[in-house]
Amino acid sequence: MTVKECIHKGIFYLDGGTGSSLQARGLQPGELPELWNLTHPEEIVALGRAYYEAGSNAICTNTFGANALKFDGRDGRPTVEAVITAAVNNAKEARRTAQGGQAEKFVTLDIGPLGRLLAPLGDLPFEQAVELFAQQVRAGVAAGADLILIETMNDSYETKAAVLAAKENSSLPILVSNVYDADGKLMSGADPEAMVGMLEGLGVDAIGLNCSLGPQKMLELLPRFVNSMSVPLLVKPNAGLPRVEDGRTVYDLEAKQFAGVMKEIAAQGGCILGGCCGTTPEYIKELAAATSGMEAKFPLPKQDRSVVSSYTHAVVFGREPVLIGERINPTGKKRFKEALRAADIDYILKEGIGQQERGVQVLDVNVGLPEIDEPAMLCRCVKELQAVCDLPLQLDSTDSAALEQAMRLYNGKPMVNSVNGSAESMEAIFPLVKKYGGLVVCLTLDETGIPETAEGRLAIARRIAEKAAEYGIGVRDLIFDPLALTISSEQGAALATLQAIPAIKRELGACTTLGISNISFGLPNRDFITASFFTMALQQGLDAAIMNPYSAEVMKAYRCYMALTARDPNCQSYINFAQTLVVETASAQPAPQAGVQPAQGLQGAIIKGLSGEAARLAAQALQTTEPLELINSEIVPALDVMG
Amino acid sequence: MSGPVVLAAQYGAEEIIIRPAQVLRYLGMGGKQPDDQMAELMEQCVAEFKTAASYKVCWLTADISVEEVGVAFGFFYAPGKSLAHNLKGCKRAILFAATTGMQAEQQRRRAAVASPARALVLDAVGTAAVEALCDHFCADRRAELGGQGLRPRFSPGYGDLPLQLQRELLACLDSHRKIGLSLSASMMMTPQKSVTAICGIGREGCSAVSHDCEQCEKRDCAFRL
Repeated sequence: MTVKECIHKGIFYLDGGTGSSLQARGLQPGELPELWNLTHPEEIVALGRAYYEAGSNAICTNTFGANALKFDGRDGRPTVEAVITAAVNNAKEARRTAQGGQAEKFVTLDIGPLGRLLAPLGDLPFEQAVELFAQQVRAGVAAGADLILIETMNDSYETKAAVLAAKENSSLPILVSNVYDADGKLMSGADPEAMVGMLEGLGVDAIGLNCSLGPQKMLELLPRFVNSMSVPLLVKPNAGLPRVEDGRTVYDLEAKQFAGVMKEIAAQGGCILGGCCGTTPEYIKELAAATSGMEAKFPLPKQDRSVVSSYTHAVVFGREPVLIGERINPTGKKRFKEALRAADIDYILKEGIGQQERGVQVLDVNVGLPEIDEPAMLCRCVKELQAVCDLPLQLDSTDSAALEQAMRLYNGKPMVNSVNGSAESMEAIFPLVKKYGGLVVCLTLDETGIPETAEGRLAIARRIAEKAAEYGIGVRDLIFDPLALTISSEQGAALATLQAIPAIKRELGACTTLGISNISFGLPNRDFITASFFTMALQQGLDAAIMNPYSAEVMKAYRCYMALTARDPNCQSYINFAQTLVVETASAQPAPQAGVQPAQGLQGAIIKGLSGEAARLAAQALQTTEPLELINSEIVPALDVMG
Repeated sequence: MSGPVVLAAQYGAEEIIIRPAQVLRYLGMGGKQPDDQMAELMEQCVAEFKTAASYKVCWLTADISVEEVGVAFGFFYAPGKSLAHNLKGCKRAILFAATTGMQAEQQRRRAAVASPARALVLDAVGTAAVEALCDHFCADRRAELGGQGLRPRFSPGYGDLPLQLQRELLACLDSHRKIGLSLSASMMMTPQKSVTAICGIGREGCSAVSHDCEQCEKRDCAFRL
């Protein structure tokens, strides 16, 4: 039976603590546990054997920190390969000599964090981290491990580096487990939904949590996993919290109590179970006994969620409309082009932070200019933006090399803009989405252009979905853009787009997005048209829009739609938005002099520079007031103030 | 289970008091009155910092052997006179690492793009906060130890205690795993607003404050109160 078959058959038992068990056998703080593979192999084999005999389907090799930062083969230190080979051999020896236990016994290559923080927050470059993990994976595969457990990761970025290394250097099943604190976050800030989004995008075989917390606290976090994931859930808690008693360290949960909570965890969806710090073979024995005969909750209900993630949180499409800020894009922006040419990253970062403050949930990032190295610039922008802004990014480029590099080093599951119905585009983009994960924007056009009708665009969408399925990409990772074309050149353009939205949603069950600004190109006061079109598209079921959050009209359309469709509890967001608008108008006024009331009416409108409003008020006043009187009473005083 | 084991604790934002006087001190304005604008900015930054901070400490208690110019901890050796002097007469010590967390770090970096002045104040707030966290932690341990007493904390970089000791200290505290604190190749701690220290267990030479500016010989110190 293969590992995957065994996992899918019933509850799959992992082992308990390694480091804490070795400390009980005399390992000192600061001493590298992995060295014991070479210096105390009999202890490692005995511990592994005890876990197999207690009921573990798979035990972890003693290779948690067996990376080249610690094992570089210099000054008497062994190499990564020497440590990992010895560790896998020790685990195999434990399996060979174990009596009883599960019929199926596997050896898991255990990979823990590198102990150094990745750039940009730390100083370890992403690709160097990938290579350090790759070295471990290659050694583990060569030595004969059956599966890989990437565990105790407290940084989403490092987790991604390890998963990529595992995917690129082996075909073994990959289990991933992160450390969450009591607030349900990784040290780097990611919540369970963000991790599930990224890891399912990367195509791992199981996702879960270990260390730091006891089983009771993990039980409380469980619904957040179960409600967002489709792959098996792994749970490996500590034996409660440690405390010192009479100079000895004890954990607050006995084996039987631990197993009792684990039984509840199994009932709630945990299907790959084990223990972490403080748990021993006795805990695994009690765990196996308490859950024997229980059906594994696998497969979990299929989660048809279209989701992207950053290094802190996920954004789900298909529930509330999602705003994607369009401002990081040089098209038609002289100042932005200058910033790109001068590599003025601060300018771009300010655009990102500013849009976030305006309320967008995703940032589109397009840095394509003919004269710049787009792959390098896109990667740099992604890295720098992710150092200061926690929104998910939409990587926007027509250059597939730029997209690939940026998708690789993006911290999370990106939105990818875009693929279209041409064979060339699909062949370039879908393999990237399959490898790195992503929610990809599918433009309903192909080699022959953009179909005029909604039916024509639906036909292309259908073809794109079929082709994606051939790559193993589900419709939940596709978001269709039925293309907003400018109505000043083609009167029927908006209608075709608006009809295509419900047609695509109905037939394909997929989400839709639009770049809404283009609709009004060439018309005066463009925002009026754009905002009205936005409202109409939302009413048709549009799930996301690439838009300008600095446009008061567009934001007004969005806030009003949310309030009017019962998506804004107590209209609170609308109220906040409307009040901000008043404040902004007021703040544009010059500061009033002490004791002087701010001018109202026509005089006030002139002072505020509201030319339209001033003209309207003047016309109104002229119906009852002589022109010269109006000049003397309103306009001249206003000009006195303005100078 | 034998051998010293690392314990960890998380503190709530309400437990750690960030004092304006300390913030001013780390802004290099110690003893001065801030103007209204600065006072308001400080107030905003303290409130902002509290939403991002995640206060964590990990520690262990070890048997020590104090020598003339160094201290043996069993699992590592700390050379130099300063720490040996500080721990003179102690048989045991608490080794700890404290951090205000990664989100506070990200908050400061973000502020640096939009408003360098705000970033500067957030930086001072972070320093005041991590110092307050250490004081709070030490007070907890001191209370726990009762009559035994706890000496003032001593960090790598103080006196002649080498900064390079951070590596061993963080390794034996398993700080990356326990509290998300790691060391760069150039010995910088990340998150930056973190502290490692050693406190001798014992009453003798015990002072209520970890540092007394009055007694310090460095008269030109920018942070002198």
